[in-house]
Amino acid sequence: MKKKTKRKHLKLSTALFKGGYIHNPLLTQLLGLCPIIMAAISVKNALCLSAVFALLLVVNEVIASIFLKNMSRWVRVSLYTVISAGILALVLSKINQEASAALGVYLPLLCVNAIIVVRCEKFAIRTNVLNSVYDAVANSIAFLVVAFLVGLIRQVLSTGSLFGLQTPFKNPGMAMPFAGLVVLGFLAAIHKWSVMNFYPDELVDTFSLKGAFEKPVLVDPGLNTKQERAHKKQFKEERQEFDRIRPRYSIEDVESSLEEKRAQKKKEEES
Amino acid sequence: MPQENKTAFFKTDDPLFSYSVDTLLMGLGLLIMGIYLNGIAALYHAAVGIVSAVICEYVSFKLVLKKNTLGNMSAFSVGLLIALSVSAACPLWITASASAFAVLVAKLPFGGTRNAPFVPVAAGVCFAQLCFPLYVFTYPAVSGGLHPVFNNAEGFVKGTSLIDLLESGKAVSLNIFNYTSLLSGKYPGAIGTTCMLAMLGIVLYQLIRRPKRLYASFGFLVCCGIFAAAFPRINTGRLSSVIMELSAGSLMFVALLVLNDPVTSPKRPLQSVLYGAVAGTLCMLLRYFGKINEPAFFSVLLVNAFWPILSRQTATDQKQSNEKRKRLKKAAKKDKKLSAGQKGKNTITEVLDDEKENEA
Amino acid sequence: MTQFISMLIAALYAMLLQNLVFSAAYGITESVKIAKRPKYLVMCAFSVGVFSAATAVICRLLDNVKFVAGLSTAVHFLIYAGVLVMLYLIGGGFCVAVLKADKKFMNSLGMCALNSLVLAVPLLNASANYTIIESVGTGIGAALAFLLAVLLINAGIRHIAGNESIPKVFRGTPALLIYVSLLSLAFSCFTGESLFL
Repeated sequence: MKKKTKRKHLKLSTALFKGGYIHNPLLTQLLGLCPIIMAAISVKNALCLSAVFALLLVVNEVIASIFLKNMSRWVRVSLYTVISAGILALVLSKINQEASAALGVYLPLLCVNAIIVVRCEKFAIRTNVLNSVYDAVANSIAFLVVAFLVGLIRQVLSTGSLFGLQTPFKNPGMAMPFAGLVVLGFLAAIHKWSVMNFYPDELVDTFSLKGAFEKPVLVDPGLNTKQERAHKKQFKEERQEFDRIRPRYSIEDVESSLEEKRAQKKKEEES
Repeated sequence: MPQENKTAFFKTDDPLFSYSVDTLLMGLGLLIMGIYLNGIAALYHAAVGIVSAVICEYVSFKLVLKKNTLGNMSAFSVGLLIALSVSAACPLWITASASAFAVLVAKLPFGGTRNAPFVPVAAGVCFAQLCFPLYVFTYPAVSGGLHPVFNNAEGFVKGTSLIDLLESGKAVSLNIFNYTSLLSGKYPGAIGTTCMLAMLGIVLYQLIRRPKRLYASFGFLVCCGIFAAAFPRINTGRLSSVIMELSAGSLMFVALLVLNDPVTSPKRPLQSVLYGAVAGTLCMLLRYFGKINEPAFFSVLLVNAFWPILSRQTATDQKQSNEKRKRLKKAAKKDKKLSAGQKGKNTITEVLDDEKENEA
Repeated sequence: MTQFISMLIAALYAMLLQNLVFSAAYGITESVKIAKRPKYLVMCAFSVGVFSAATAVICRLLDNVKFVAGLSTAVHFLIYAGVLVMLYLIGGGFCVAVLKADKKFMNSLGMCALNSLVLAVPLLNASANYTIIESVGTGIGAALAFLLAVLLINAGIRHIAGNESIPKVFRGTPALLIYVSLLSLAFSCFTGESLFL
């Protein structure tokens, strides 16, 4: 019988689904928030930021995937900044004054965006060029969607107008950083609700026993590696146990009762 | 945890219910004076604030938490206090949006009033003050009588509040007529923050009903008084500086009704006094050097943010949870030594039951 | 003495009056990451301060050179980024060769040196036209702002982690984002509606 060969290439749909939607870098991992909070105050700004970010991410991931695999990590991270700074210098010289003034210092600061470093280090250097491109596209689309939604909501609420249409409500404070964080918080909640309801098996962590935040699987999204499967299985057990005894007991009780169960299982296997 | 009556709408056994009712009663006194001084607009603001807070809480908590939390009356008290903190001349939708912000941002994501890390009233008022400073800080001249005084209405006359006088270095000469004006609230200001007589009534009410809640207010007011005496902004004497600073703006209102929120403020007397003192220091520093016209509500938010770092409560909780974890691990190890089929005592259950008895 | 006072004022401005993390969202990702596990907070804040101050000083010195001052904004930015990367490589090389630093330390150093907070400091100094002493003050202020932000966010994380009443959809990152938004609202009282950038 023919042996099934392990799939080496990531599908674009899988990258978009897992990398862009389930493990959205902004809404689940809180990466690269600075430009969204401060600069995404209108749709135009959001689109401009997203376009530049996409360019930086794709170029960095491709270069990391091809040339930087064998370099020591502490030197490699500085190269991402250098590459991004070079690209941004070209972009800044071509971009018009109005867009540059609207984005202020947040456009140049994209060169030290955490998403670029994290995606290159966690993914691009461990895989081939095509997978890196797919991953970069997925993360860029995730950035675009979040930036667009934040920019749209803030533009409508702060200026009271959208594409020439006037709205009755106008709140200039929506251009302030706290408003950006509030909008991001509610978008993160909506994202979590959608994942919990439509893809509950994909939810990595609703309430981690080690802490209160997601521990995203960033190594090989979509390739269904042994590590990812083990992590999912472990989390499923923990979550089921937590739901079972949660009304009466606390996190420590869950850990200890799980230890107890595993010890009993081992004994049964030995006997 | 008190046993709640699940069938009744109003959760009368809930401590939060009695606190909210007390706040509503105190706020009602301020509202009556506000209506006398500012006209029917004060009533409209109160109605809009309460309705907005109640609707937002009902809809959002039903959708997200799948339960009705209106029974503890906290939404009503939040709406009323926010309405009392804004100018009578500002548009009604500002009061509505501030109430909505307080409920949807400061309460809902943290599971309700009992677990909110920041005082919802302070968050709502700060939102309004930051986003619409022109509307919120434009006070109508106090002329008495019942008439609408919205900002763009014909015949609207802008008043100069005590805060404006302090900032410009102008003193109010404190003779019997001005003391009367201060006590009766005849200086322009927010709806429920100007009448010092009503504030004294609130102090008496709290002394009778909830004396422990006054520790934080005491710390706050003493600290503000010391600042005002030590660094007067007017040159008519330290006493008049203290009286003016304490009467100006929303300082007394915040001290008596907002700062001593039972959820966020400490429980022990000394800690409460320190908490109030820190808030008072921040308030006076912001008044002297900040850009916001009335920073008392911001000082409440800042002290809510800084207090977990300044107090040692967080460290104690962490230590207790670490000790509990160690005990449970020890118990789990003991259980491993028992054979699988052996019936008998389960050490983990015993430890947990013991803990529950100790806690009770 | 006046120069020392102006340095302190610049530091106070960056730390409190216009807290670079809450009022301008610089370094907010790194602040949240360190706040989850603040074991090496002091070391990280120190690194941020050293890199910010050093970058700020070198960039201001370069700005005073006539040739550099006449260059376009894009090239200016390239120079600032280049200075930061050079400082990081020198610092990193020193740590690896002399101090024999391990992988974990070097990973943290990368995060502390190459972030938006550190790179924003020379850009802010240039726009506000600060002197060299004031630039050092801004660098120190950036480190203090980072330290303060991490402490405050860590307090929030502890509150959120211990709160079982939080609705499921808000548990974790959504509640944390809203907590940080309320912190930002509280710090907005210092700046009012406007920021200096």
